[in-house]
Formats: sequence, structure tokens, C-alpha cells
Amino acid sequence: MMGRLRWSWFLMLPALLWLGVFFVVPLGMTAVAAFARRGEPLEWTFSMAAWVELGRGGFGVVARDPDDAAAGWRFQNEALAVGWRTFWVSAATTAGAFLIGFPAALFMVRRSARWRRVLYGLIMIPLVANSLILAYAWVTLLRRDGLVEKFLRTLGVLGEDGSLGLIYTPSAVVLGMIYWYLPFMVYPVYSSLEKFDWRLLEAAADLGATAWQRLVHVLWPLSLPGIMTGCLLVFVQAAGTLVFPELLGGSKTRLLGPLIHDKFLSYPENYPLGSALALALMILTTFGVWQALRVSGERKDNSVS
Amino acid sequence: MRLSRLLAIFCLATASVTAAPAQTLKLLVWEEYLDPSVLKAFTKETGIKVVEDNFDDNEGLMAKTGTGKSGYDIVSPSDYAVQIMVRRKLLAELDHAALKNLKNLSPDFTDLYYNRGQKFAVPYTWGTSGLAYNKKKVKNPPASWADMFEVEKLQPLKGRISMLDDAREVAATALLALGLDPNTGKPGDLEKAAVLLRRQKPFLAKYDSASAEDSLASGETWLAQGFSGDIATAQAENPDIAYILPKEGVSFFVDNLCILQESKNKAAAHVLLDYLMRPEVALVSMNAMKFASTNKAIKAEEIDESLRSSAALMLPAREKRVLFMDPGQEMGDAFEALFNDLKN
Repeated sequence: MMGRLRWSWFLMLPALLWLGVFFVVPLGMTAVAAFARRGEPLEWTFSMAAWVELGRGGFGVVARDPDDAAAGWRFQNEALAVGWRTFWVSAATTAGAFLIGFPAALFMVRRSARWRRVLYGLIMIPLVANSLILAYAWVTLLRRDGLVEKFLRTLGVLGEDGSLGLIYTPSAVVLGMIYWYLPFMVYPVYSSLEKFDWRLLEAAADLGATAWQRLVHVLWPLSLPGIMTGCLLVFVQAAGTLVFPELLGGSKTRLLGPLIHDKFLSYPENYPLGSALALALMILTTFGVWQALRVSGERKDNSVS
Repeated sequence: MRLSRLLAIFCLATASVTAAPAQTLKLLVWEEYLDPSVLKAFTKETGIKVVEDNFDDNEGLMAKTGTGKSGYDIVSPSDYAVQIMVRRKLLAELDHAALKNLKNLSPDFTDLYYNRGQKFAVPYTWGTSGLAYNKKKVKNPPASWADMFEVEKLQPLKGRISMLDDAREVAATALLALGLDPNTGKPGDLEKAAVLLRRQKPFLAKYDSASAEDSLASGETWLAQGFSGDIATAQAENPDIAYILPKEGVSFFVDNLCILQESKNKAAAHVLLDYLMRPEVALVSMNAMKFASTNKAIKAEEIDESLRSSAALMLPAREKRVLFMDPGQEMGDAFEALFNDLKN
């Protein structure tokens, strides 16, 4: 028994080393840099300046455009303004991925073993390509006078000079990300549905449950852990995305990924503020993930008892 | 037994690596800066190997080399980046005795504010960021930056305009339109510029520095702020693209070749720099990459005909050239904040 235990630690060694070197070390450097003094680029003396800068403006709001009241308001604090927008874009991406991914997983799991293997592989195809190339391909599709608009014009849905006005908007960013992150929704949902005992649905039907009741009271709670995992994977990745807002969003509205990128890679660089932003985002998402897993864990326990 | 054989092979392998003294220069330069054939010919002539890596903006270059332990020998920063890198003591002083071809450089690009006496940098290519437009689509082409902020002029081009995705370049267009100095953007000046830029933004398709010329050439956009060399590439694809230097003045840049202080191959690096300043060598890169050379020894008739009449070779009058200077931290932050606010 002891011998087996010791061996099992050896099995973990590569993973521990890998994570230790490539995750913990950079994370530690980020944490230290967030409390360093800004210099050219960094002075290793303790300073809270980055956090003061991060909180500047507090929760106050200002007009989006001082010359145009109709433009609405935004948070004065840069991180909050950008974070708020990032939250909604990521939430929309997650919702979209769920609405497409859940029925797809449901369909897949009801096929024969052979079909399942084929479909499982097909879902993976987008991940084989490079996200940058795919984003450029999406620009080609969605752009003004692009393939989609040309197609809609031949169908007569769009006028001769009509345009969808879709490209270079946050909606285009969401569309691109739904596509790119869809596999991360389908796979966990599929895995949880695969373990689902379909006789439970038959039992529910025998007891007089309608199709809707069977979905809401049987299938949904039992596939919730998979759905939660899928939503988390999509949301967390969408919140940190870099390529899509720049290419599909036309770099017109800031999201957190590009904002953090700019703190490091524009002049004058601000490593402490960039690190503080990255750290804050990481703490928030970790907290969110922990809460979500706790809730879905409780649900699972309840449904078993 | 097997282990000792492995060890023997390992020792042999390392020995052969250390025995060969072949020098290798590591370059970190702009993408589409040097034609690959040029570097191959250099290796053939001198035996010095060259490895080339690329960066896409000065900020990325400075981030990569900022530690002084990047492992590179030669870099190609723009004017203001040379100024910053000299201040950060990252660049080596040039040995003019080893750079006989410095005499080939045009006085238009030598002895500029960041590089008095060519102490740290060999100016190699230059360009402008003016306005390019599609002649078939734009009925009343702009002549000035001020035109870029007039709603009536922008209205027919709504959603067909792109500006560079760069805080300094975009702010400069508004400051020039207002008759203000793009290099001393005081807070009050920047607020005035912000008003103009906010007014302009709803008419833009995008802010884009990486593929603005592709969108212009394909007809997706009709009017774009762009770098002259990139626009020359678009002109080669689409003959309807025209380029103007707005009358208030235009952002003008010089990209340089510099040797890093950390380089252990400074002598070989000088050999390459001198080689690249030969007119016939500079010409190859210029014709291939479409960025104008600073080399005055290149004969005009040897330049590709299409390039001669392109955006790339439109040199603004001396007093219209706006060279960016290091804004320093406080003002640099103000420029960044202006651009970020515009995107919030």
C-alpha cells in the first residue's frame, strides 16, 4: 500500500514540475510586479501605487461622451468600465455557446457508438486551426461586401448597398468567440450526458411527467455539473481573449485582454498596473469558478440524497 | 556499455559545436524589412551566419531587449525608440571606421534629433503615415487632417474608414488638424483633440495598424490612415489607391539599424551594417519590401517603376515632417489614456 502511494507521487512529478515552472513562477513574478514601483520598466521596491491607480475613480460614473448626452454613461474607473463590458461579452458568448452546444451534445449522445466517435472528432476541427487565421477568415466572411453580405444580396434579403453592419462591433466579437469556444462547451456537457441513466427519463414518463418536466426536473439537474464546467471553460477563456476584440471588433472597444496587453506592450509601459490588472482578473475568475463549482456540487449532492 | 557509448557521442557532438568558430549574428528587425536573399548573399560573401527574428512594433522590440540579455546583436528601432533605447543604455556606439558606406546616406535622414552624428544608429528606411483613398469610391478626397473631422465629409464614407491602431499616430492627426504640436500634447491640447476624435469615431470601420492596407486594396475600406510602404503594397494590388500627405504636416519616421550594447559580435555586426548600406544591397530590399531606402547612392532608374510613383517615395517638405519624440512617462500616459477613453 505504502509503496503504491509513493509510486503514485512519481506519476504526478512531471505535472508538478511543469506547473511549478510554467505556472507558479510566472504567477509569482506577476504578484511581485504588482507591488513593485513603476520604472523603466520596473524598480524592485515595494509600492502600492499600481493598486491606487487601479482603483482611481472608484465606482463613479461619467458621461461616455461629454459633448453628447445620448451616448450614455460609463464607469469612470478604467478597469471597471472595461471589466463590465468584458463581463457582458463573455456572458453572451457563454450563453450562445450553451444554446448551441447543449442540444448538440444531447443529439450526439443519443447516436450509435460509431456516429458518436465521428461527431466527437468533428467538433474538434476548429481547434486544429490557428485562432488568428480563423479570426481573419471570419473578417473575410462578415466584412462589408464580404461573402455573407454578397450571399444575402443574391437572395434579395439585403438591398444593393445594404449592409449587416455586423463587422467591427461587439456582436461580431461574440459570434467569433461562440464559434471558437464551442468545443469547450460541447465536450464537458457530452461527458456528463454520457453517464446519464436514460431509464430515469422513462421512469419519470411512467410517473406522468411531461417532456418539459422531464427536461427541467430530471435531465437538467443531472447534467448540471457538465454544463457548469462547460460554462466556466468558455467564460474564463472569453474573459481573457486577445485576438477576437482586435480583429473582429476593429479594436474600437476595449476588453480586458487587450487592456492588460497594452499595459505591458505600449510605451510608456506600466508593468505594475498590468500585473495588478492581471492579478485582479485572476482572483475574480478563481473566486467565480470556486463559487460555481460549490453551487453545482451542492446541487449534485442534493439531487443524490 | 551502452551508456558510455552515448556519453562518447555526446562529447563528440559538443566538441564539434565548440570547435567551429563560425560566427552567427542574431537580428531582431521589422517584418518585411530586409529581403531574405540579401542575408543569404551576405553569409556567402563573409561566412558570417545570420538568424532573423521579427517584431511588429517598437514597444514589442523594447520589451524584448529591455533586459539587456535578449541574445540579439542587431535591431531596427524607429527614431523615438532609438532615443529611448539610448537613454536606457541598450545601444552600442557605432565605430565609424568600420562603416565606410555611411557616406551613402542621404542628409535628409542623417543627423536627426535622436541620432546626432550617427553615434548609435544607421538610418536605413523612412516613411510617412498619410492618407490613402480609393479613387473610384471617394468623390471628394481629403487634402488635410481637418477634413478627417468634418462630419459632412465623413458621412458618405461612414463605415469605410480606418485609422491606425496607435495612440500617438491617431492623436497626431487631431493635433495637426488643430494646428497644435503633436510632440508637446499638453493636457488642454489633448482634450481638444479628444473632442475631434470622438466626433470621428462613429464613422470609422476600425482602428487597424496590421492589415489596413489589405482592407483598402480589397475595397472593404475606402479611406485609411496608413504607413507609406504598406500603402505602396496596396497600390501594387489595386491601381485605384491614391496617397496624399495632408497639408498641415505628416508623421514621418526613420527606421534604423543599431547594434545592441549586449552584443558579443560587435565587429561582425559592423560588417553586416556596412554591407547593408551598399546601394545595390539596399535596392534589393527596397524593391521587395516597398519601404524607401535612405541610401542616396541608389540610382533612381534602378528602382522599380511602380515604386517610383508610389506612396513610398513621397517625401514631405522638410517643414512638414513630424518626427515623434519620446513623450516621457507622464505625457505618454496621457496619450494612452486619450486613446483608451476613446475606446471605452
